[in-house]
Amino acid sequence: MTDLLYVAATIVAFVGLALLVGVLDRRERRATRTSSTRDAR
Amino acid sequence: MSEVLPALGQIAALVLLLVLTVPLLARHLATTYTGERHLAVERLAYRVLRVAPDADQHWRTYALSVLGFSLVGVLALYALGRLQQFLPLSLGFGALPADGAWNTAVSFVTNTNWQWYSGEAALGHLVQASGLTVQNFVSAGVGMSVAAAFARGLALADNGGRVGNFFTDLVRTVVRVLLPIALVAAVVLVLLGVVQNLSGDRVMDTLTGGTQVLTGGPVASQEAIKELGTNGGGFYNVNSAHPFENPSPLSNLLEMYLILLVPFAMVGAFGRIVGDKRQGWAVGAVMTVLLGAVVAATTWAEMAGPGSAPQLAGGAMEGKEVRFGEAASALFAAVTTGTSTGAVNAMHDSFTAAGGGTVMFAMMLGEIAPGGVGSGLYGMLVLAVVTVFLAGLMVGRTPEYLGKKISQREMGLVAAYVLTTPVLLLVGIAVAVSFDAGPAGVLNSGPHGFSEMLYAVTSAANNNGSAFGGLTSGTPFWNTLLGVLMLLGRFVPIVLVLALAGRFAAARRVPAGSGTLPTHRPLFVALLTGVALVLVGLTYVPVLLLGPVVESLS
Amino acid sequence: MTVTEPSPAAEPRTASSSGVLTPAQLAEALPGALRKLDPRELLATPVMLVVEVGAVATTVLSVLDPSVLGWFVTVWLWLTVLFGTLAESVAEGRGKAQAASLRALQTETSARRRTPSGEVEDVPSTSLHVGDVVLVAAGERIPGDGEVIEGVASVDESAVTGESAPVIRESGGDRSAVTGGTTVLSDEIAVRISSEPGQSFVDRMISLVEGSERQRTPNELALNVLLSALTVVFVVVCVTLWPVASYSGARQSVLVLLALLVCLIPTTIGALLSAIGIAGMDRLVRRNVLAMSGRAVEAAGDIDVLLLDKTGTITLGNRYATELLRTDGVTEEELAEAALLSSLADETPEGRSVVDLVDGLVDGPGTTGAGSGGRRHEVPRGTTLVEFSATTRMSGVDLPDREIRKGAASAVKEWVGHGDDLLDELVDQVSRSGGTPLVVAESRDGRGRLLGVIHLKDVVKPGITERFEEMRAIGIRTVMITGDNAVTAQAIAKEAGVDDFLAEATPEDKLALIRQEQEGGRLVAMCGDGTNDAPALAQADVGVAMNTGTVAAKEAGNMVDLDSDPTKLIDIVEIGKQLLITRGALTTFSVANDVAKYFAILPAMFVVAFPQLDVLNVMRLSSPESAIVSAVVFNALVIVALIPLALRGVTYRPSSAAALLRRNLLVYGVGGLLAPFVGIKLLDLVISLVPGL
Repeated sequence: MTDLLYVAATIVAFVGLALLVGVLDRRERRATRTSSTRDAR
Repeated sequence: MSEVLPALGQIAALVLLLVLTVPLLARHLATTYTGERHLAVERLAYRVLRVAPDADQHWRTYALSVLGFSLVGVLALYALGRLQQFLPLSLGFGALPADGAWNTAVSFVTNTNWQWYSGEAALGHLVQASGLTVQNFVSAGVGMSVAAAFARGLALADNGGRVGNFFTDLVRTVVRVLLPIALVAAVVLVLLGVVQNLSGDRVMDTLTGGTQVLTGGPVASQEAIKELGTNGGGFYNVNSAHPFENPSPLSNLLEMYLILLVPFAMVGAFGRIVGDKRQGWAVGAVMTVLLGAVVAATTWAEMAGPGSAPQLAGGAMEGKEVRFGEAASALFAAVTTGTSTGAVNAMHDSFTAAGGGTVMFAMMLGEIAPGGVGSGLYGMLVLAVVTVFLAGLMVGRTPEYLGKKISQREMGLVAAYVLTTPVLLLVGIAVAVSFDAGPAGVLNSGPHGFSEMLYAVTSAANNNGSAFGGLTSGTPFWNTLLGVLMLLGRFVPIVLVLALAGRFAAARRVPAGSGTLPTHRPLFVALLTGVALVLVGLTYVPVLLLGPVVESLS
Repeated sequence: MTVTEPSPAAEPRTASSSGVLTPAQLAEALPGALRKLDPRELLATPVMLVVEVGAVATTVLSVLDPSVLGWFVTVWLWLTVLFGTLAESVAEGRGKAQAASLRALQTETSARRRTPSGEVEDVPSTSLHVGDVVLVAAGERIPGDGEVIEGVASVDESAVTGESAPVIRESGGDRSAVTGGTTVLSDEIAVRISSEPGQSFVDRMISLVEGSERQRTPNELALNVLLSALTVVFVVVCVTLWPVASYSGARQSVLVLLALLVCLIPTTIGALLSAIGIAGMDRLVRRNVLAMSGRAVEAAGDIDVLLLDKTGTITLGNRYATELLRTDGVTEEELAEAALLSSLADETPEGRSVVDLVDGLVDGPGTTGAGSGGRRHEVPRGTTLVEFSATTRMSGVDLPDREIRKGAASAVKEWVGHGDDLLDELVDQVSRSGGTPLVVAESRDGRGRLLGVIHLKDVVKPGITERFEEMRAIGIRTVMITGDNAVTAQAIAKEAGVDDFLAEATPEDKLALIRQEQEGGRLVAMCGDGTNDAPALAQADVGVAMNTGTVAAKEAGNMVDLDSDPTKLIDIVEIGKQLLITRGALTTFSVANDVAKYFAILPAMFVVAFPQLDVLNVMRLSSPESAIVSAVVFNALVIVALIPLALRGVTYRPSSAAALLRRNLLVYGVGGLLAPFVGIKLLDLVISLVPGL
């Protein structure tokens, strides 16, 4: 039972980190898109 | 003051060894991370792993690879710990408790190597060698790969955010750097008297007629990578204070040299990768200054520091090996906490309050002096970006580092990075003191007891792994708390650093003009040192005050 | 001609002081500052929002459990927030008077709109749209921005530019733009409106000087991220200190922790950040430059390459004819006559100087004057004038029997169809001496003949060489743009001390040069006024359009110089840098301050539980309560003390990056480390006298 808890918690932590990667990446993409369409100034 | 000369002598020998070899390794590391050629054994590894070694990954893929690889590592180590009783070479040891197995798994995968257990009294050879020693190699490899990716991110331009291939970096690090050096080092260590066998306990009759149980094992091999990869997890509980791990002043010197070798060489490699060696040495100079300060402060505290007992005895010998004495113990302590190693050759708990404070501060710096393999480099580079930002504003130009402009988005990532460890550490200590289970494991009361807990969370959040001692941390509460700190303290910064690397790689390069602030001059070195000290100092002053400072003033 | 009084709008710009804070200014700014206490207004500056939340909390705590310390801290926390909003309000206030007089220009007037069918109708000026044509006669106010499409008039633009001498505005050419709100002094013009109501030049000016719609600039946003991160760290420090202190047996009150928090977070820079931005814009406005975006101001600080037109920027606009050089087979009289005829209709100073030169040659020395006081020459009948154009690079006259041209050597030779060795030598000779050779030629019955060279002398502006040296010191490359040939350009470039030059430049060359520099990652600034400058102005990172220029140029650029002084580009760069430096310096100061505040507050907090900490009370503050209050008061007062600096900007002297950094680190880093030790000690001496503390 405790094993399940620790394993699940580990996986949740790493999924959370993967989501952080996703969030940062999406923000990046959005930023590049808007800056390419908008005049640099 | 007959103690002073040997103290300076060992520092001189250490510096000489490093000065001679670091540039060579730096060049080797630079080719490792930028070369096109693959070795035959590496090709084999790529085929087994089913990866295309020449396919550069976008930073997102790189980060997910790091995370995936590490997740597998944690789960595998956890399984090894829990299933030990069924495994061969277990020396009769049973399964680790769930919280302990998890703590150990996280600890070794995050390059922390915090050990709540006594290695010789809990783990069999299989777990030590195939679990922990393997992670000693690959967790160091992960740190170095991420640092290499960051250096390449700064060196590249306009490439859409591709920073290299994680698996190529990892395989090359292990095959070309860690394995060969560790092999040579292990042989030398054996020659110097470190134990290397696969035997179990041996019962000896002692001179006084009693008996003593001696645990043998593959010590030298683990010792070599423990120091080389700034891991720090000892085969024995007392780590490098054990005569089988660290028999003589000479082996002591060699171990310190191994600890410092790769972190400094990574800095040199960084300079080469970005195409300006001076940039690397400037960063290295900051690390040297900080490390030098920690060495000086700790040595002073141990040899001549305040406290009635040490002054009566002419030095704080309690808890130190007579083989090494105060100076070598202080130096080792500074080296192991300045890097994220955490190996110890003396018990930091027995240091003077001031000495315990300085080594704690060395860890709180964020492991950048010179830090863990790889992590020290990227940690320092993140601070360099902060410094460049402040300096850039003060010279009236949009700040840029190595030709990369620092805008709001870069600052966002950098700020998050700088925030992560202090928040983990401070929240960690607040949690520890708020529950009964926290102080329950503390040996001493008052400020010293607080220092014991503060040291533990500092060590975990910064992925150092050294223990103050005095704290019984093998409880579910501490194992879980420290495990969480280690996990987040390792991988949140890595994700942020890789995102930053990707951004730099995607950005265009601005040519340096005479209006650009040079980042290889003494002025910048001084400013970066100041930023490192002030940013860290300001955050941790209150907790340090309540622990080591109050104690050393009493 | 109606004579109008110079508009009051010209006043505040020249009369207002440079950053000194007067009590009157403060009183005037107070209502605005109070309005800005609204938390929604503070969302943009998280640092100050945290202070305000802290102030609310201490207020509640002090009401529930009144104490002298509690009320002291509460009052000073509120003052800290107020001083921050006051700084912003003062900065805005400096533009208020100017905005008010500009608004006066916007009072609704009626305009005479000409419909496409040619009828004229009276409409309110606010209902004019782009493309409408209005007629404006002497004494009337021009109802909106636009372009003169018919007629020529003298216009009083003092309301906008502050310059009281009237200017000529005429259809066609580069002097066709008119600004809404300015007054026609003579004649009548037809103007095609080029801006929608509410978006005119004056509207933009008003919002700029008021700072009301100030967009935050990229570096300001990045700095805000750093400041927010520091704030978060210190919030965590203070929140976690609560259980940690309790565990250590030194339980702290929430009030004291809040006081510590406010002292640690970077309030100084947080409070002054937006004031610095507004003041930076204001400094530009004071020099009669309107930046269309804050981004452009910051970009100005980053400029790597400065493109400067030779004429008017590097040299005094006027060149003087000093010599006539004949080629083979041409008499002195022939050349003099041709030069004279080709220049008679040329009203530029150059043209007039040719006339004067010829007059002097005819009459003998002594009667020549640089002005045009000489006798009038009659233009022969049947003459058509050929105006100078950038593409032909020639001007001249077409007489009934022949055509005369003068212009750049290459252009004239091409027109004639052949070259001439002696002439080439003369051209070289003039060029090498830094002069401009103007080749004169004629064509009879389609047969071209080269006559000679007029030597025009360029005069480099006094002081400009030193400016270029400054630019070099701060790492900016100056490139001179000129229509002259390479040899002439080189001579002048050398004399003026520019780094590089672009000779015989066409507008396309200019655009190509900008693109090329930008490909290399460099930022380029330039100024221009003509329609053909518009593409380059739009391409440049900082494009400064002259107010006298065309509508197209003004729309393409991101700044407008109301004085139409191209040299000002250099000032603009310096203002951009100063803006960044002020922010950086105050950030450093703010963070450095924390060290002393720790020394004041931390021993005070814990000395009861750990008496040995009294050693750390290095300032020997009289009591723990007084120490905490002194730090909080210092923290608030330092904001007020730095408002003038924020408004004025830190002193900026052009020098290398390393020298600048060393100086600013010394003043604001080391100064920021030491100043609070002195300040807090002095405050403690006063505050310790308060009973109950």
